[in-house]
Amino acid sequence: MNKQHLPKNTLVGTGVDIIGIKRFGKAVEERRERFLNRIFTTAELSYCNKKVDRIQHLAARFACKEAVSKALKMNWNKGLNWKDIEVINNPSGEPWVRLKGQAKETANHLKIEEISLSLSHCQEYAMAMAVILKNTKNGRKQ
Amino acid sequence: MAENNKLNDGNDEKIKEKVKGFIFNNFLLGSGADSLNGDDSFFEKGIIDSTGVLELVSFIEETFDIKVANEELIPDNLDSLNKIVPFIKRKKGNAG
Repeated sequence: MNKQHLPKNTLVGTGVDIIGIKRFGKAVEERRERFLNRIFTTAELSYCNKKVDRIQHLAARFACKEAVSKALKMNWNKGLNWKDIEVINNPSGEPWVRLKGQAKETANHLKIEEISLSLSHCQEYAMAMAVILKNTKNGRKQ
Repeated sequence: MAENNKLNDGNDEKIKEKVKGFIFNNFLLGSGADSLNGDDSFFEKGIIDSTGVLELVSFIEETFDIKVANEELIPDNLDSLNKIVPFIKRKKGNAG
């Protein structure tokens, strides 16, 4: 098969973020529902609340949201809505992202084909990386 | 406890001092910084990051008994002491 006719994914952007667990946990403890409900969807809270150390998982999801917003090159001139970037796990545990609102509009404008996420966390830090790709025919940008 | 007093010019300084105290205690303590001017940009100076925005907004909501919408989380409202004070006053005015 002629490789020239195969679709090719082109890198649109990458984003990385790191969150200090201790500081994030302190904010959750002091600000509680007000803090959590501004950042996380019901599904995200439900997933993390089942974990033994929910703070690590919440912090990792927040890092994901930040990484995706960086990869999409979003700024905060139109306000910040962290719930527009929802981090969900498929049955095998792999995280993926569902976009809404302004984040979805940005992704549609950029003709985003795929957002790959990777996250990791330990007692001290949670970090995430997002890689965003768009599909181009014959390797040429549309 | 929520700020229920009528907000006037005298209260501008009171609001500013409360927010400044929060910024110092949570973001500047141990950084070596010993001053924060009213027009200093929190982001340009690297004082506040994304977690910091959330902490700051939660503090403002609780301390001044206001509700801040996500659409209001913009630099014009939150990026310096001199922007936060009128923002809080506007919100308090609208709350009544």
